[in-house]
Amino acid sequence: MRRISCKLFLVGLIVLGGGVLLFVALLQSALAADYTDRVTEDNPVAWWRFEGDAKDSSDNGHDGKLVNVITFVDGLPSSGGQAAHFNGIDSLVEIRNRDGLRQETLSIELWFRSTQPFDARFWPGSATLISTATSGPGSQDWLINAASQDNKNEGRLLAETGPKGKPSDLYMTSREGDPLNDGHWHHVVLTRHQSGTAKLFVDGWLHFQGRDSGGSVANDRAINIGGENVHPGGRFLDGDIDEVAIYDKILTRERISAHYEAIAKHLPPRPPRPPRPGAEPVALEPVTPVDPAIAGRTARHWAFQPIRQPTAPVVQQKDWVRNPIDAFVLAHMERAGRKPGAEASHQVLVRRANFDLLGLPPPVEMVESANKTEWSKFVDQLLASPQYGERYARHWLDVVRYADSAGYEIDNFYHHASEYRDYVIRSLNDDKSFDRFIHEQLAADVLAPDDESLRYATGFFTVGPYAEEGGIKRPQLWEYRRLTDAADTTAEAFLGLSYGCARCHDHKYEAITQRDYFALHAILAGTELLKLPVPNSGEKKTAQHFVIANRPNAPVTRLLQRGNYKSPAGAVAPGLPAVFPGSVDFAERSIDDFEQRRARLADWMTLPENPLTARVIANRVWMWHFGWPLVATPNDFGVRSEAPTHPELLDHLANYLRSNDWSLKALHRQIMNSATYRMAHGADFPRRRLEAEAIWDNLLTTAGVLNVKMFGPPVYPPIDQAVIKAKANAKWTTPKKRVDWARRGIYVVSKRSMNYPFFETFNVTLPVTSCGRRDRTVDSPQALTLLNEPIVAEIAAAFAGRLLRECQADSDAMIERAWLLAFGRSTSEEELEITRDYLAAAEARLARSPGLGKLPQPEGTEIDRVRGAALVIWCLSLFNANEFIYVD
Amino acid sequence: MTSPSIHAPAISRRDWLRRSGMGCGLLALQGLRARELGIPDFAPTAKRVIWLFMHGGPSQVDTFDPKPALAKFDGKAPPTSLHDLQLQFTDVRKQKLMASRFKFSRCGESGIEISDGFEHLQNHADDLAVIRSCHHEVFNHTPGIWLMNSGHDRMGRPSMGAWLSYGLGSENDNLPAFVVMNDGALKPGTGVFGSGFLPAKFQGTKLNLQGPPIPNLNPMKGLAREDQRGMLDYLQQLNRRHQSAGQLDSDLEARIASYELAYRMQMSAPEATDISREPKSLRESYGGGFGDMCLTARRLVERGVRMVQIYHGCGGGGWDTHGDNHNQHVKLMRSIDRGCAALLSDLKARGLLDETLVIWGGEFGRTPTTEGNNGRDHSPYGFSMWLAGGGVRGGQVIGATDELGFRATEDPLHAHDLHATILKLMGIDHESLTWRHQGRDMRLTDVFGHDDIADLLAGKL
Repeated sequence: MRRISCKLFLVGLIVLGGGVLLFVALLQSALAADYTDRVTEDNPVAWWRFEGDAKDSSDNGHDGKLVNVITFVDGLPSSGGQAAHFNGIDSLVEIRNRDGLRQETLSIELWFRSTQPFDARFWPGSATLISTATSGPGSQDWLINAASQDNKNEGRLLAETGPKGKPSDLYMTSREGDPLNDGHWHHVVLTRHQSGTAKLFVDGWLHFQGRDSGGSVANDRAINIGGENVHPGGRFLDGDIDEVAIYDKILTRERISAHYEAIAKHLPPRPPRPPRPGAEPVALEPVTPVDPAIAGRTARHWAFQPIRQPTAPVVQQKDWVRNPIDAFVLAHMERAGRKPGAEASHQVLVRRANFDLLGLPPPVEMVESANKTEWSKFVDQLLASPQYGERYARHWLDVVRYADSAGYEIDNFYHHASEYRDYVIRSLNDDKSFDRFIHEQLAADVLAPDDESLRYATGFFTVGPYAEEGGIKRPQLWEYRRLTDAADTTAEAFLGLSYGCARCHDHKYEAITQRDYFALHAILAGTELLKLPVPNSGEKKTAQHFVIANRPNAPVTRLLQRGNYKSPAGAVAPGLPAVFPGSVDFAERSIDDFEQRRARLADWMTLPENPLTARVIANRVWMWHFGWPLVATPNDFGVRSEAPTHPELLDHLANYLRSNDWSLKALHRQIMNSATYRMAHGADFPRRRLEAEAIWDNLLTTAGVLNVKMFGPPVYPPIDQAVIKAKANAKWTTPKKRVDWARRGIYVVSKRSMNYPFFETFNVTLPVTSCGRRDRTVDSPQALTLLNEPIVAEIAAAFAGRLLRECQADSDAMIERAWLLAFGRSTSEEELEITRDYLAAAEARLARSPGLGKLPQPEGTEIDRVRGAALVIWCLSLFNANEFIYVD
Repeated sequence: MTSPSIHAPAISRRDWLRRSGMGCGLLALQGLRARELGIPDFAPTAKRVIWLFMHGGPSQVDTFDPKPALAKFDGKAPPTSLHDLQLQFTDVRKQKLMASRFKFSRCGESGIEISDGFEHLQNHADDLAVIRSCHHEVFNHTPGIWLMNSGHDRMGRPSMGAWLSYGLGSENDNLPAFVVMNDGALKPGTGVFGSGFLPAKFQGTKLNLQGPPIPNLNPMKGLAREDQRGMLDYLQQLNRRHQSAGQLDSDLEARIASYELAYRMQMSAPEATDISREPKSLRESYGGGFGDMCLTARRLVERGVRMVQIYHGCGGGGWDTHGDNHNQHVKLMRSIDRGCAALLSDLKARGLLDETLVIWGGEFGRTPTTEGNNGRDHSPYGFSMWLAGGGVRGGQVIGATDELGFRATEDPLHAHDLHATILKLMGIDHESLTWRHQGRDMRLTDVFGHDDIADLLAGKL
């Protein structure tokens, strides 16, 4: 502003008299044209400019009527004209013609200035800026009012959308600590999508983002500006309003900024307020000099070297090699003087591939026709199954420390968590490039703010542990913990770096300094959790609904001595460890535009010269296929990590992924079509125990009771009451019908305060931090669970019922079918014999057992009780067999 | 777990240790103990632990830390030096000091002062080492209970019991190494006695007080033992055939063995927890309720369980006496008094007290002030615990709080120091019992902890 007046002053000295006036007028009209052009470009459906009247400048005929005394005063500094002044007593503008003004998706824009106290909490009582006349929840309306959060004169705005017939409206408020009744012009935009997403922008910044229940917000009542006369209790604005426009679309953030900036550069400065965080000059934390010897060692660390393009080595046993993977593996074996193992049988491969890609046992028809389909086509078929996404999403959810609740005493239910889980499943099924997958998880809110399908992609940040306990108010501590969780998970999940070690102090032999650690905090510190209203949910009382968004300003991130939030030191700029290429460039580009920092981080992660990202995911994919990673610590590729067993193979896989547009399915194909993958289990191919969820899915599928429904809120299977009683505030409501809980393990609720005991027994740990690799223990509580857990017995009874139905109660046929279903192979003559003997002996014992009446019977069929009980117990024994939960 | 040799060279030693740690069954089967894997050692004075955990936070000035000055300043505002203390619900400045209404007596030969609310426990004064200077900085239940259990005020780290099971194993292969009992719902949930990032086998096994003591211990209803045995024999036949079809696999071996152990556990666990096998007079001396849990604990440690933890005061308000502190404490103290006393007598009579460390205390103490309603707020800044048995010299008081009982002033013992001390009494150097996780060698005491008080407790100083 000052600069402009100076210029005008100089111009005034040169051009004299009336010339000055003419020039100023021209300049003003040029500026006005600027704002006018910007609004016109967005094609408003109604536009009241208040140039002495309330005509609709959009030419759509929504002219307003001036009600009571409205005067016209000087308008926005550059719009060249006037604004409407409302008297705060009874004046308002009324627009009765709603033809073409009943949008479900719309943006409402206006400018206002006022010094009136904004001291009422909700309508009625708060002064109307613009409204479609409210009358309680669900009345199909919207409004923007001047209000306060707790009946003090806080100078905030209240916006509301109330979709038709929905029980609750969405209330949005402008930010605390930024009073808007300061007599200065403010720009307000409310956008609302028919799906219910609504955002409130003030002076170009997003102040609130929320979601109503969706549907129509258009009624037939008049639109009121500056006051409301439809319902008693409405208050009137004492102040000015200018340039009110309605659009039949969502104005993007860029457009809103463009509108605001066109005027804002001509506005006088607002009176001094607390300095904007980030604007104050701060001393930067000095860079600690690095010991050259250690720096050299770090720079030479294998994982920090560029990914090479190794050529497939020459091998002796050429006919074994199906693709380059085999050449790398075989060369390694030949150096050790060994030969590759034999190829596994078709049946073994079919079972292996099904569990590997889908996490489910193969259907009987597939086992029986195992050798009839060409292998590569078979692999393609499996990859096309929607159940692939469920399987691999479960792997990814471990990496991002997914859970459905916040943890701690209250253990708030996360309404948003399952939306993120479903996003992951869909992304994997769509074979979204891993490059894009990273970008979306880190910054979808910035990169594609209007794409509803990506709304929960950044759930990556919001599914972590989060404590909001009664009585404790230490916002700095919570914020520090939130950033710690976000930074640690980001670094471990995508970069395979355990940054967290550097939180407290530098480690002599690590590449990551404490300063680097807080530089990562600084990248993420511009974000905050937005709390949204929770749509209807079973756990509504303690449910939370979070999304992440950029703050209005990036706060200053300070290095915290010893990782203690009470000991802040110098400021740290966003940045990346200097050891990585592109890190300096990143810092330069990201500081100015803090809103894009996460997007830039994702850019950097997926740069061709980034040595880590592709290697880290290639190592994970290899591990998910073989049960054994090439780098033993999938979440730690740091200086102290062990080198890969097959460095060239790892680089080959990483390269292959990148050169195939980061397609994970392409990498799966490459791996599964190798001879390496087809080796028989044994010396060269590890036998693997199924993970908890896969055991669960296997039980339900084998018994024929799995409900394959995808997506949606988590489910609560039956649980031992003692477990519920051991946790305060426990909520666990099992649906009455089995079909409603017999879903795939990925849909079973993951509560941080109370793991599902069946899963916990099989090594699912509390998701507190990223888990790169699950333990696989063998212990007797697992045996007790599969032997005695009532659910397993119930599923065994269902399995027995299935066999009886499908085999018309023929004993040998049942045994053969049970083998196909449970073990994915045919029965041997000897096994048939052993089983016949066992069943006969069991029946003989049971015939004289006093407990017979209490034993479960096969589901859905009436047969002799002795035989029925024997069959159920036998089915239970098959569930306990090693072969059932191990995959060759 | 099979080592796939396409991944040769052979796995590293560290990895082997990791994996042996993981293959639970392996350790038990081969008779290996984590200790034998080279964990440095002190001579232990305790082999087992019974931790009586007072859920909610008992008031030190009403139990083990008498403060005559409080009576003098009763109803007055606390001095300004205490104004910076952060409490959960209230502001110190707005509170009034509140004297204890309990009388304290000098007890035993040692003359330790114990509240008259503990009339039976007073007889054991010469067994107790009372620590009046326990402290930390976490003033809310859930994080406080996490801290006292796992050395970290957030969820996710292994509990002390899990560390002890990992470090020392069990002395009874038919019972879990770490058993937990609670009389109601724990605020933080069962994770506080969990294994965190350690393998699940080290987590605390919750003992149900009614019905089967351990989850899934009872075979399906109506299944006779011989029916189950028959089924297991058939199952193992299948398993051995499966095993022989592939190469020798230690995981599968371990799994076969785990079924035999599970089968035995179905018998041994109910026996171990069946207190009706004890003489009636002994059961009566424990006083029922909390006492029954103490008696169960004695049966368990007698059978080689490494650590038993009993949570008292769960479910309702428990020791969290925000209102009517005195009368609530009268009731609470009465409900544990006989149990604590009988446990010490019984252990001593059986010669078990020497090797069994008994710990009493909550997640924190309470303010010497009232927040209104004659209640006391949480205070982690100075509170009392006591240790007995396990080589601890009884009849001594360690540390002190200020004149008003607010802050630990002499020999302050932080929660981390308490952990380091307990590990030392169990023969473990707290800095060497580690597990690599997220690129760090993690330990119970994180990067903190001093164990120098252990020698004092053991009477060596």
